[in-house]
Amino acid sequence: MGIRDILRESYNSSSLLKAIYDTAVINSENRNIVISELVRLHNENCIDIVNEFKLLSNEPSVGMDFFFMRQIFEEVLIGIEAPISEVMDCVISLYREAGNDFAAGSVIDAYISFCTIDSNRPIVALNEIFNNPKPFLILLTPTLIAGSKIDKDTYLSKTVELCNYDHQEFKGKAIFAISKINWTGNPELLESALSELEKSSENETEEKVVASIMKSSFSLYKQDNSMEKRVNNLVEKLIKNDKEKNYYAASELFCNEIEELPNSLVNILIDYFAQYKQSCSHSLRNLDYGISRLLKKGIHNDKALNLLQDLLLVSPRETTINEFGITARVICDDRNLHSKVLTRWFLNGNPYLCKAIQSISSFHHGEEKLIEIDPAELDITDSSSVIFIARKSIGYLFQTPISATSALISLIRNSSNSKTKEMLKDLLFDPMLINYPGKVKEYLMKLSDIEVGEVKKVVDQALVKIEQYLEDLRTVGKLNALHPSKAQQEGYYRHFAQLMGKSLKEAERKSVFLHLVSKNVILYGRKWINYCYNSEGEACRSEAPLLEHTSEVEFARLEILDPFGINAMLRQFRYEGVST
Amino acid sequence: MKLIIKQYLSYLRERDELDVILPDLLSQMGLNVFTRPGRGSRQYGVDVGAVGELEGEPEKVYLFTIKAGDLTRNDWDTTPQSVRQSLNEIVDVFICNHLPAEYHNKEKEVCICIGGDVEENVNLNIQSYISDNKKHDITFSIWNGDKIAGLIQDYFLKEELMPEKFRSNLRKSLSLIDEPEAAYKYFAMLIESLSATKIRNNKERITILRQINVCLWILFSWAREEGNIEAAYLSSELTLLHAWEKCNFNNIKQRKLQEQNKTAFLGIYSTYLQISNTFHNEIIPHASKLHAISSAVNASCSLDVNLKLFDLLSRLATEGIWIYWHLDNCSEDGIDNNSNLAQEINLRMEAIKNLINNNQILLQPIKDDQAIDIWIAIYFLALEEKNYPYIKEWLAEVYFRSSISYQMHGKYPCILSSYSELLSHPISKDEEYRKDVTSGSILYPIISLWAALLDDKEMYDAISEFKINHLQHCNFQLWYPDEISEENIYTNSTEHGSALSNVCVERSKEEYLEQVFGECDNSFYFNELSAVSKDIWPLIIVACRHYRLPPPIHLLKGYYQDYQQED
Repeated sequence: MGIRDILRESYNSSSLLKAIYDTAVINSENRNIVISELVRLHNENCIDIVNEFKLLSNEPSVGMDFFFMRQIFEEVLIGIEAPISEVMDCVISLYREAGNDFAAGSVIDAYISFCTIDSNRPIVALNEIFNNPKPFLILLTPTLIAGSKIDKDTYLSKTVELCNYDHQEFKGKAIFAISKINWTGNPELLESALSELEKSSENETEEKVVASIMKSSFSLYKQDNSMEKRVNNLVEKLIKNDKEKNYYAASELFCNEIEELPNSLVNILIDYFAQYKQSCSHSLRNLDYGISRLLKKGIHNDKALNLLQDLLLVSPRETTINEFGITARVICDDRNLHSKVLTRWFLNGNPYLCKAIQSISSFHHGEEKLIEIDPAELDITDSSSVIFIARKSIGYLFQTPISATSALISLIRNSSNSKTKEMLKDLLFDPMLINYPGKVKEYLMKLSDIEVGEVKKVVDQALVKIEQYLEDLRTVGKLNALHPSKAQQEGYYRHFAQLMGKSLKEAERKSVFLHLVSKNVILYGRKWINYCYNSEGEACRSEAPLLEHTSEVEFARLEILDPFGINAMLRQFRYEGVST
Repeated sequence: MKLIIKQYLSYLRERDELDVILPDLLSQMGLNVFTRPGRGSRQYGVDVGAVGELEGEPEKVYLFTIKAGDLTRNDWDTTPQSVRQSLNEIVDVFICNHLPAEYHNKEKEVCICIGGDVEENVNLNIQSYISDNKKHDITFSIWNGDKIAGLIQDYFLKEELMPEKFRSNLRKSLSLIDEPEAAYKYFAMLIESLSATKIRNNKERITILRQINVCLWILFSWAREEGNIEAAYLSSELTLLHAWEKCNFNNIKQRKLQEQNKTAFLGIYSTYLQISNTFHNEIIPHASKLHAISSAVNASCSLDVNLKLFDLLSRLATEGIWIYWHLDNCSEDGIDNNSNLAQEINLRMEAIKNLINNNQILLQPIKDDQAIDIWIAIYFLALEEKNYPYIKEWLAEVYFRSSISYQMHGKYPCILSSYSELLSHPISKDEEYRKDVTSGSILYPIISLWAALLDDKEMYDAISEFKINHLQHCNFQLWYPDEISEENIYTNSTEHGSALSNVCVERSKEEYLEQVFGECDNSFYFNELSAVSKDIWPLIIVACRHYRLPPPIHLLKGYYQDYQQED
């Protein structure tokens, strides 16, 4: 039986969608044939594909991939003849069925293409929308876009006209449509569109409409840069009208258009965000992206950093650097920027900013990051500032000892005062070397080989000191009488294994990777052998070696020898200089 | 068993070890020991001299020259201290000029006593020497490790004296020496069994005391050889306490019997001191090095360091207290010896201060009963007034860390005792849990007590305030001996004593001191403790340390009197 017959027969037995799925989705090589047969069958009135797809459901229980099926409809739609109202019904149904998926809007594009094929279709569609706005209003913007592609002047005028429409929802959709329509070649209409937007901005309070005005006005600016000042004024006026309500709209503009915003508008927006800080998560997400782009481009660095700093301090318990994940990653990846932020925020001393530095550093994976202090951010001759930063670096980066030590080295390198260097050397010894005689010592030994002058001298002195300390420990030898008893050792291992097991389970629970793959436990051997079966049921043998993963962590020694002391010291380093 | 004893003998050193065991053995064999090892004065080759009948032979004078380990060619004849020289001196000088007159007419047997064996290549030399120097009334013999082991077995450890069950505990203890807790457990069973053995007369009591001492020596020498004397240390404390109890000084009134018992007890005391000294000699030189002792604990977690270091603190202080007691009681020993003892005391005081300074874990007890260790350490340090500022400083830091940890739900002092519970402590930040594990305390009242005695008003008031603001639920208490303490304090056979509950640290320090020391008058059983009445009070500190009891407040009465006079 040919595909055409299969489709036809299945239509008669009310199982067309299933047949499409089986023939076109599972066997993808039939896809194009199925699409062209569906168009033919529909146009020959053998089947009603529009009404069939109206019934397509996104429920997993249906057993069909909704989005693959909808794609077939989108391609079929371009080739068929069908009453516009039925198509609108079906498109809206498929749009809604998609839910919040990113691909939800693709069916709208197909609808625009469908309307563009016949100049009559947008006219009929508009009539349907006006006559029956409740279900169809959602298609006003795509209909106007489709119309403008056929008859620019008429539909641009129509759009501008609708911006004045009494019906608030019509108005909002029309304003939104301005941002989606290509106005080039129609300066007068473009001018009138902006004027309409300016007019609307006077009294508009609806949050969504304000967002559309902002977006549309900026879209007009992109098509005619001479409108910069007017667009700036418009945006400024909107955000001043209702500082709180319009925050999200402004943040959306900042996020979506940051690459093309004129400097003047960037300044307006940054000043506004800094002044009327909010901690709404959606707005913060937009600001995160905007700030990260600014920092990445290296423009408005200071302003962007100040904005980030202000935002982190609005409600610091709720808004942490984790809300600015993209920005944090950009800072972490840019050595100079990282130095700048670290120096500035450690010098500021605010615990929330310092904790943010800690989090930013944790974005770095692999070997510990070497940190440089930015001398431009502090008065290096001021001993108290230097020591202040050194102690903050230790306080907050103690768990990444190489990073903390590299910060101290950087301060030693930049410092000219011998007393300050002496104090930095002491910090290098205690707490850094005393706690991490493994990795920190190794790092300093490597440094000693490549450094010259003062830094080498200080590093060598610190190394001599730790060597003496370790030698003292070695001279004690093995004092078996002091060792914990076997029962205590076993008790501790049990306790530790329980803690590890608990945290492993927690990590597995959170692991994205483990949610994507299934887990098999191999009890014996060093390789695994597996048989897979293809669609014909043929077994395919695969064999793979098992890999070993180990990781090593050096714990701070004083966590065992003097936990209170080391924690008190770190706490002091973190919170000194902070007014309560 | 004989192999074990032989092995033990080969581990012994000459000075203070083999020469200490031998007189006990000879006495047990029925000989009368007239010369014991001494230091300083010349012995003309004789380390131990005894007289009596042995193995059916006529009464003889036995003169021993002692050499530890195997007898080699070097030991035989190369230096002025070699065995040949000693034998010459015995024959030429001692027998002629120093042997007590009443023994001149008796036969003399010169015994070469060695812990190990005579090496093959020196055997001929010895035999030649013996045949050249043998006279009608002077004979020679060799007492090697094998012979002495046989004698020890026959006279101390034979079935009639020590049943197989007891000996089995000794063997188990020796085989588990690198697991001190287990080794101690079996040794404790042995000591408890020996102590509980019914006796018919004082001779049997003395035999048991000597057996205990020999067993302790065997354990010590094996432990030392294995490089882990922890089991020996713990066992020596227990042995000392049980031995005192066994001496029964409160009930034996005959002076002669008391003297015999005292001699036997002093043998055990001397072994205890030797073990304690050996233990601390490994520690003291490293106390002045930063983190050296903490690191040597080889700990998996801070709890291990904490438990070990507080324990070590009170061990060191207890030894210091014994030396102080010795200095106080043995003033007739001469100026030189007193000055040495004073130096030893000073050495231990400095060691304790260094230990605290260089191992900061000693600033933060995790168990409330570590107050006992703190108490003992302060008691020792406070023997010198110059240490008062240091004590105040230390206690202030202990209090600071404990109170901050409590307020922040950190590792604050608690009444938990099991290791696994302490590992997880604090298991929750729940208020109920915190109240539960701090429902009673001796730590804070003891700090308050010392703060009051040392006139540290600031610290006293701070604790008082802490109690009012945070520890209302906690029963601050102190311990006093009661009428059954004498029966139990040395063996810990049952709970004894009384707790002075809810001591009034919230009131002024004068009122607090009055309450605490006033109670000493009401709880007067302290003075009835035999260790106190016989003026060997450091034994009470050993008992409190070993069985984890707060030392009686009565020991501080002198400080209270000083305080009152100054006031």
